[in-house]
Amino acid sequence: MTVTIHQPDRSNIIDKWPVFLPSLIWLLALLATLLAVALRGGDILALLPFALAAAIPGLLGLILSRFTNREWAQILLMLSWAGLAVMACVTMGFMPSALIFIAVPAIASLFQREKVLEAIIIASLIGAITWFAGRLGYLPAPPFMDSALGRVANLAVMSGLLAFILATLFGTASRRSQASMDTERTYWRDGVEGGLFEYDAEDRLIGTNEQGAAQFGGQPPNYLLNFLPTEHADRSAFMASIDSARRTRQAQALRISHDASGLAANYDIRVTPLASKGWLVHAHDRTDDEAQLEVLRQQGATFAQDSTDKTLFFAGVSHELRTPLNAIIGFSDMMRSRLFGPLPGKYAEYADLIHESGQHMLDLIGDVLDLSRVEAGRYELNYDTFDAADVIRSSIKMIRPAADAAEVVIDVNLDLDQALLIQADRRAVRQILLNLLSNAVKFSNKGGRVDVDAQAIDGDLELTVTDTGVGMSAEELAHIGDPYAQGQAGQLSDKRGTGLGLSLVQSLTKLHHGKMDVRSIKGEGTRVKIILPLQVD
Amino acid sequence: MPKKVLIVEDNELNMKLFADLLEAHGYETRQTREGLKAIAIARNFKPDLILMDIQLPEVSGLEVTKWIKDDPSLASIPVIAVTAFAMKGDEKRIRDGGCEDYIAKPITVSSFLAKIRKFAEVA
Repeated sequence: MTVTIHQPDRSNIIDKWPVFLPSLIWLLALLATLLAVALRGGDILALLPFALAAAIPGLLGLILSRFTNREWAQILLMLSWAGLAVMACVTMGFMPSALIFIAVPAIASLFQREKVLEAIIIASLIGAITWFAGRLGYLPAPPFMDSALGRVANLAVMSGLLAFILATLFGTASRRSQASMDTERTYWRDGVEGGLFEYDAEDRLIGTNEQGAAQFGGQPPNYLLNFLPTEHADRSAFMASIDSARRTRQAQALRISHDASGLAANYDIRVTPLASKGWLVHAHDRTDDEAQLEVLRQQGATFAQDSTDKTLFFAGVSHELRTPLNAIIGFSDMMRSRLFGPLPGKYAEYADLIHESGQHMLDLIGDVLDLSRVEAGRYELNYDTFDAADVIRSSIKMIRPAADAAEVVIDVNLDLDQALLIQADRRAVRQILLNLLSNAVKFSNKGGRVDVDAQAIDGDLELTVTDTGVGMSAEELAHIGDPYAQGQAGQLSDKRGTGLGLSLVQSLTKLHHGKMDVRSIKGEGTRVKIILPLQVD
Repeated sequence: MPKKVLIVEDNELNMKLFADLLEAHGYETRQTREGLKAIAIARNFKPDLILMDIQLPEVSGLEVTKWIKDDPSLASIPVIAVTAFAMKGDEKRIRDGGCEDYIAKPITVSSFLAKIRKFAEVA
């Protein structure tokens, strides 16, 4: 992860007080020392050069805390203090310690900005060595060393130094946590999709993430109110958002249609007021999203058009097919009714077969048309409340002649006392039943049996059609609901094919938010269970 | 006096089917494939019933029906639409167009005759 690109210095008192406060304590301690000396009737004038020299770091600290870089101010101060402490402890005179006073900052300058603690230790060591050197007689004897004044001065210097060390340690700790917060902030800033800009309570930019900087060519606006230039088309909308965010303290979202340089683009802007009275501005570039969405929209329109075309094509084809079918069914019907006289045996049978095939073809055309309508989303359900038992009975009545001809028994298991009221499309339910029944009959062998069972269970209509017919293989079962697979599998050669009918049943069931369950064993039979909700949600 | 039926139908085989069927049952028929000629024939032939195919090549059967119903001398003749438009809403569209009834293709001989009889006998 990269660091924050733009991070103006914080002018926060918390960051300054590690310099400011010790300096103040130091000066106060010095003043107290002089006061103590004066009260004890000491020679203030003799002490004045020392006092002035000792006051330098304190004054320096106060000045530095306002202007200079925090870390450097601390190091300079600490070193000058350490030197003074050495001077005070060892000599209470100025000249012999001047060397150390100068040397310590020079050593400290070798350290990095952040090594404040290490600098303290080194300076303390130098101080201690110097002090021991004085005690062992390598340095001239301090003039006030054994006097009460000397002890008071030592005490004052030590307390100042202690205050400074504590303040430094605390400041370092707080700066570290600040630094870790900054790092964390950088992480999540960079983790956010889009540009993030943080402004303080005075509307000044505090920070931004990489994407934010990039959105403005590396130069994000320094003030919130300049976020969009005055000539920007969406500026008034942006200003209105800030206003309402200021008023309501609620985040405001807006969509702007130009980027910072005025080019057409789509950005989602979100202005969030922060608890610190500052602002967080999130600018998310949606231009590409829009373009992609447009592509998808067009694709969708093409698909829908394809589907509509297909439906219209099927509707057209269906019409075209019905016209010759009318002649086939009509003329064969006339022959069957022997309108113009008797028909020799075999021909009568053929007329029947032509008529029957014509009818079957008509059913198939209907199924294809319905299936294409369902797929194109153009099969509209007309909901109606009716007794499912009625539809079951009338469907069985319609299929009975075919069943009789095939010598298949249809057995209905219906609770006659109870109406099976269902809210559904009557025509679709009839279509489902007719398809299931005609399949069951079609695939039954002579003497076979079809069981129809219907009951209301837990708010659903459970409709089961079971036959003792030829059944389906696992492979055939897998292709249910995929009418286009049937042509490839060549199953049509078998009997009359189920794919179309079952696919339609499945589609119509799905349209009703129902379920279809097919169990089948090759050679033993098939059981199709349809579950339809009794009530529309 | 046999009942007279005017058949407007553009498909040759269907025309033959309807005509044979009706004539076998004692109706007198007149046939045209063109909707535009239907009006003139109707004025002359004065049918008891008109069988009207909806999908005609030049003008739609519904348009022809409108002309018939707008003509005071023809308005009382029942028009039965015969069409392969077996889609939802088609029946309503056809009835709204002025047709007295509607027969879907393909026809069933028995129900076709029943419907013809119903309208022709009344006239």
